[in-house]
Amino acid sequence: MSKALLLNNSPVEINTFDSLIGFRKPLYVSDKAHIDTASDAIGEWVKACIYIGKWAKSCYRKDNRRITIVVLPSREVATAFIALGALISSISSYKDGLSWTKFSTLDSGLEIYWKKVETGELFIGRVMGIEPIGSEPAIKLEITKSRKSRDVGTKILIPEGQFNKFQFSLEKPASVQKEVDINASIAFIDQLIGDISPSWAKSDGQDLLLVTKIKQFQSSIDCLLAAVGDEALQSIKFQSLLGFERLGDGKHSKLKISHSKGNLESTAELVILDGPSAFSIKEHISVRSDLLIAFDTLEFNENELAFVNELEVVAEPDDCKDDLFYGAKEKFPVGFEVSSYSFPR
Amino acid sequence: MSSQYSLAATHFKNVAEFTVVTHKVKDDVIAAVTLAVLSIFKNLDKSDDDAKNLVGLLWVFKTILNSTLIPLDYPELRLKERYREILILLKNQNIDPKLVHALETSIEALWSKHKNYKFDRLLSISQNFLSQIGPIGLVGKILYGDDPTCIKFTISSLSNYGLHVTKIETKRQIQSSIFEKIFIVSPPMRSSLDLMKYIFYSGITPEVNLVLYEHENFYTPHRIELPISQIFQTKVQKFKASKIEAPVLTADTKDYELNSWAEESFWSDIHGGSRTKTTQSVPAHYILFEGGEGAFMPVLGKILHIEKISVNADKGNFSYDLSYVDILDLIEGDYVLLRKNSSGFLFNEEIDGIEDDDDDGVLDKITDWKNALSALLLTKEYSEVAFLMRSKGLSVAAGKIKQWEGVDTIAPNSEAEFKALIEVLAEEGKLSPDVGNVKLYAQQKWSDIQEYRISRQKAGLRARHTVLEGLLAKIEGLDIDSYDGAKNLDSQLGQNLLIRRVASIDQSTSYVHQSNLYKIDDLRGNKWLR
Repeated sequence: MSKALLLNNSPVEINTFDSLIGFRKPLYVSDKAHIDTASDAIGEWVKACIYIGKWAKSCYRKDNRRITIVVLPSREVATAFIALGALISSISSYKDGLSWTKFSTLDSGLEIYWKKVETGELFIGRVMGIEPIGSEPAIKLEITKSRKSRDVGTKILIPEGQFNKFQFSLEKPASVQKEVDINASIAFIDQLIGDISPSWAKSDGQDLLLVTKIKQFQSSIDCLLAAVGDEALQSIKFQSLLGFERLGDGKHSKLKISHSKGNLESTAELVILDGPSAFSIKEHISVRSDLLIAFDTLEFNENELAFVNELEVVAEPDDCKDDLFYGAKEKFPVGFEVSSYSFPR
Repeated sequence: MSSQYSLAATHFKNVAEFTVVTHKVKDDVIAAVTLAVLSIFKNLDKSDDDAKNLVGLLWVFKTILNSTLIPLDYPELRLKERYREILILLKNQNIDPKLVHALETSIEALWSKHKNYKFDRLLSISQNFLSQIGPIGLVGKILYGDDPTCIKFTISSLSNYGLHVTKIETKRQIQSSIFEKIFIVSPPMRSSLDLMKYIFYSGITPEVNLVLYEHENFYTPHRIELPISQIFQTKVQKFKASKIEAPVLTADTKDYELNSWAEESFWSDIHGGSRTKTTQSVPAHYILFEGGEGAFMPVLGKILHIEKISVNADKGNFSYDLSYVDILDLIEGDYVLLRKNSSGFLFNEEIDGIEDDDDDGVLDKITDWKNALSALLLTKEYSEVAFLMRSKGLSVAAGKIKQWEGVDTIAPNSEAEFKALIEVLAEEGKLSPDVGNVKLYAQQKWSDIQEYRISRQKAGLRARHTVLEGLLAKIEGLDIDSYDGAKNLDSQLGQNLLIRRVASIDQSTSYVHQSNLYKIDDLRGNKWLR
């Protein structure tokens, strides 16, 4: 990352938040009707939020659980940028081709959705197991719903070699409008950090869960626009960039959102708990998920301190030191407090 | 109105630049009265009821004297009446006559004083930035009651000099605001500590100006900081008290002791709730509403909070949302909707309309396994039960077991965790033999729990829809922040519905008899609120 990084065709100073996040072009965010590149470049606090989100997501380890706590002067919009950072980490580390491994181990009887990439034809069906076609393993599926009624009840075999001709999902595929949003979001992030896999956003599974007061969160980012590059030619609604859906609504999204009294059954590797009410349900989050908990300065009180003190006792030496950041002059902005602990799951 | 994004950006900027400037003002007369009051205070037996009353009056007198920005002979301050009440009580106390004489002499000088030096200083400071700037705030939350230090009059006097100042009373009031400067003209009381912390640590202003008499001490409101883990130690730039360029003191002064005592005495006089638990009592918090009413609410109770959700003030359009919130989630300045029954008691919002009459029976039935869990926890730690769950292939934290045992959580959210827990209870011999097939029992119980949760949710939504949405329609469009708006609301809503603004919440738990909950007290004649 630090070798020949260019930001808008100029060399980037090594190990600034820009380089640590992997920005190739400047990011602009505005709460007005359009982006003004003279005044809307994101501030250091936004970069720090994106960085900490990216770092926390990238530190996921199978055997160890990580809990990161962030205390900020203001938290409401900050969690949106933290979530963006975590999504950037997911995109950067995404590798195609994992889905076969996952789908070939799904239980028989499970309902799944798939689409033929070439024609866009949609199907709903059930997994019937793995059967070999010659020496090649194939997934056997029974179609339960299709536009063509004659297909219903048909059993089909999809060998590993043909797998990429289909898009499989345990959740309903995105609607046409949603797909347009997803594509715009992918194009945006590709400009911002480059070298991303276009199939990431449509790949199966959740990467991130944000537990928050949904109405407040949505209204805090409702008016925000984002643009990339000095020309900032095309802006995108920040909400579309995050592309979140409610957890449990069956709609496909990499970022799920829920409230503290809502559905919390998530497979996401990182769960962001936004504020005290989300913090109060931390015990209901699966230990398979890492946590990033955000408070504002007045929300961090005795209870929260006691929790951090307990973490300090059980924490193991940390293996997730970001050497580039550690060696750099860059620091978090004043008032940006962060702590992180890792221990066996 | 600024967006959350621009507010957040300004908060970060202000925190980085935060400065406190102290302006000390010399006033020998007020210093002498304050010294005399403190000397008498030290010599009073505060456990004696009359003396307690006297200290309360002295404390209010001293606080008004030091905090007000208007001339001390201004009749609305009622300083002479207050002093007369003090003298009557003083006569009944066995106090060194020298101390009383010192008070009388200093007070004599007070009545012949027609200037307020703090006000003069504030004006002279303001001359330097009259033309430059944006919003300026003045902390007006000094005492309870209806503006005893006459801040409203001060604000209007300042505007005559071209200085437009916002009176800051509550955190809620300023949550969406940014101030160029904020003036604080007296040391913080315990009641205003949350507000002070907000001003000092949230970044709503880059500059606080303290205008204090020479004998007054200001102590920085303390905030709990996040301990920084080793991995980020060199990377975090904490907001430091050293950023505050003012001689601020720690809170161990005699003033602080007096303030603490007086404020505890305040709550004791207001509601009289005990701080000690007894078998007959339930834990509660006292909410004091503006206008002098108050009520005890249970610690785990809910209250209907009214929130302005979209404001188009230019067009006079206001829209509101109603939600149930925990008592301690309320802050000063919040509006709440209260419903009264025919006996004049407030409804318990958590139960009313949400749970059926036989709800308790259902709840007992679906949580009967908690008895088995409690029995197991007599011999095992939470972590040991968590370990047993792990043998079922489920990794759960010890804290979760604690939550499941408690009354706040009906059951685990996950079916797998619930079934594994039932298996553990059976294997440990804690489930009754009447249960029969453990798997069937767990399945049936889980279905009942889910059904209960859904019905509760539906009942809650139904109640909200039928009762509350109707109420919302009545207040739609009115500005509840305006005096006329609040008055109109009371007349429109009828006798059994009240909209009240929270003046203060006693954060310490009181223990009161069940019958004292939800009872509306009329405190308008209370000495602390006059």
